Amino acid sequence: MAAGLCLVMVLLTLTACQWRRLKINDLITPDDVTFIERGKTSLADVVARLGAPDEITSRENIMVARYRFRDGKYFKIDAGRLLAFWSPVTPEMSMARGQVQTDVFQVVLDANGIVQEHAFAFRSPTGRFNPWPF
Amino acid sequence: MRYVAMIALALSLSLPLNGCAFFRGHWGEDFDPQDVEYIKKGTTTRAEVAARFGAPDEIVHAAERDIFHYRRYDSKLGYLVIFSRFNIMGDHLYVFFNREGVVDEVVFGKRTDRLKFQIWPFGD
Repeated sequence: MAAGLCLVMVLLTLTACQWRRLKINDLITPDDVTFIERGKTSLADVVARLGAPDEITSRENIMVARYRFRDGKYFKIDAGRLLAFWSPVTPEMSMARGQVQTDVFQVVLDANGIVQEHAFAFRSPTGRFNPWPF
Repeated sequence: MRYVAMIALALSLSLPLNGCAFFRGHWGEDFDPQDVEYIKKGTTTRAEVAARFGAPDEIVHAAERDIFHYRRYDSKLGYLVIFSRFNIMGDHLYVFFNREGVVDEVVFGKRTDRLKFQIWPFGD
């Protein structure tokens, strides 16, 4: 009896939850870019390890290659959905929170395509599934 | 006991019936590897690249060189009741030309081969 009630409670709670994930490109971590050496590594070397950049821009005699990636997590609990089993009216009583981890890895190259600088433009904290909006 | 079991059964059956969906979206045309191999450094010209791939999505002038940038995006969304996951990836082709308009460098990356339909939002 108790096990059955627990199962019902778990299922009811699950119907009120939503887990959503958005991922744009594979994440690049600092460990992935340790092979890059200023003044030595070429654009071809970077591309061989990380793939083609999402964008290449220029300024005077330098080029900037940018790798963009995002990882978003969204979690919602709608207590109103629990009423759907007993009530014709299902008011929304939600708590939700979405977090997007955005990052850009930039590689500055000289006119010959040799790396001069590299850095992560943003370093968002790693997102968690968390419905608490406050 | 039977009443509880029936409710549990009804709920467990209703969960998947609440909905599932798979969506796919493209932006741009897929790159044919043969087309990319057609581009030869030192011989292929700007006009030949444009004839093969069409007008680039973007032209960048960098370090006295023109760069043709072609791109394509693919997205896959898997949705099952309370879980969903939306993955997006892009392919990029950069063709670098020297001052004479001949190909100097080709940079091609195809990420969309690894794009998967996923529902489970947890993990990598």
